[in-house]
Amino acid sequence: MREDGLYKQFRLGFEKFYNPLCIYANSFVKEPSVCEDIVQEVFIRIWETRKDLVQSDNLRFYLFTAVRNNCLTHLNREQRMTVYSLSDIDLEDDDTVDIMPSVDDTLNYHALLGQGIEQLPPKCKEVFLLCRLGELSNQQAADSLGISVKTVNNQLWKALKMLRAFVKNTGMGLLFFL
Amino acid sequence: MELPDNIKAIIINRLRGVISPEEAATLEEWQQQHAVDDEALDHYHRIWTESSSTVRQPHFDTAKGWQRVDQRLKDTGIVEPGEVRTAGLRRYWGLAAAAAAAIVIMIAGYWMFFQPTTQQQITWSKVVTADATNKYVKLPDSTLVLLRKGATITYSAGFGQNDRLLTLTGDAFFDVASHENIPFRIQTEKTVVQVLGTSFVVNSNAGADRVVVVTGKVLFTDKSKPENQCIVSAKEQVSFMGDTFVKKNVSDSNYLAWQTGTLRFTNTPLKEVVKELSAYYGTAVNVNDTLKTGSVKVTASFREQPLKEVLEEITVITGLHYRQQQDSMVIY
Repeated sequence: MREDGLYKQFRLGFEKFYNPLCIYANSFVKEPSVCEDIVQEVFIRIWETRKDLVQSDNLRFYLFTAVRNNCLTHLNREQRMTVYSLSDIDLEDDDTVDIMPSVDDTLNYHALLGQGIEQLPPKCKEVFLLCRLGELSNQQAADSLGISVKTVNNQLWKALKMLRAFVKNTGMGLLFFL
Repeated sequence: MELPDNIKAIIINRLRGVISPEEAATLEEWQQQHAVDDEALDHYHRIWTESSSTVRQPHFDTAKGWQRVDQRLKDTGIVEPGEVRTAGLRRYWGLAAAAAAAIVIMIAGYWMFFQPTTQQQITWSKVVTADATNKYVKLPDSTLVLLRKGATITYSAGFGQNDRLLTLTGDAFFDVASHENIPFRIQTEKTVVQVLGTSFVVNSNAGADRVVVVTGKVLFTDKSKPENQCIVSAKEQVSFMGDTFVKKNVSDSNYLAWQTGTLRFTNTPLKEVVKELSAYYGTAVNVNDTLKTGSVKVTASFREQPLKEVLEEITVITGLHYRQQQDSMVIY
């Protein structure tokens, strides 16, 4: 493949994943501009050192894994927070909590769901976001986070359960099958 | 309701659209048993699909982001507009492309150390050394030996007639041809390995002898105290250190990496990864641990790739960097 053809592909990849990756980064690092820098940096490094990834099926996995790790490294450097690493054990420990919607009748379903996701317990949210933003398979998500597939499934299930209860609480549940 | 793990997994597969027919049947059966209708499942489905677009609401300016990346790549000269180059293809080189190792035939006074088991006088022996690269050797009895770079085996001209005895320094992988009545034995400086099965690795070096058995069984004996011995079975490794045998199960598959050319890491802590890379490439790879990166785990596999490429891949995955320091590599 010619270099310029590959570069076009690289650009397409960038356009496809930039926004989801920044949002994913934003779930760790709260300053949007830093998130953008981190994501841009990851793309630059891929072009500089691993062009072969551009056409690889693993690109998605690499991107999301690298962005998360770079975010954790950044937080570590900033010393703003202690970086936890996910582990199967502590994920199994945290229980399902009730997340409560704020009372706002004007919310549409998406906004409501967004609010629910925002309120998920941090680690559960992390797993859920990675799977929904990155559309990674269970195995890839597990590898990316360094946890087991079983834990990924359990966390996803937990998130779904909480979100379902959350939506139901608002009476939105009734609109579902209309 | 608290669901069994397998049902959770099946439902999630269904949401992802990767449910297998068997899983669908299991789910249906479970639903019938527990009188669970599709309504709840549909609700989950809706949350699942809707959440994808919910979480993707664009907040970031992709065009601006691209402009910056494009500009930076062009500034550093990595992308020269219009220039045509082939993309960096991985170069593979296998054992086959190796330079031929020297085969030396010499008279050995060396065999005085041996206690030949037969009356046969051993008058000369063959010495095979893998001096430039790993080397395959087929012995007269059809046994296949892969010598790691730097290893030497010595065996007699009568090898295979009524004994199969050879000496080894360094590391080698043996795939032993079976001959019911002729035992296959390997001597190192301190130990003797007698084969009761088929394929295994022997690492002999100044520190310790190590035998890793892939298939079959071997008998591992202390030369100075023949009663001190140990049977090693498939998927076990035993090291002879000082004067004792230490047995461990083989948990990693990378002990054969130099033979297969494939290194595989599954959720392996970075600290372990650099140890294995150091051993495999013969270059010291260290982690500068100011960032407590030791807890970083790596899942990746590499096939006959140069160390630099492997480090690049690892640093891309981990978000870390690496640099060369004299003759070692540092990940930081």
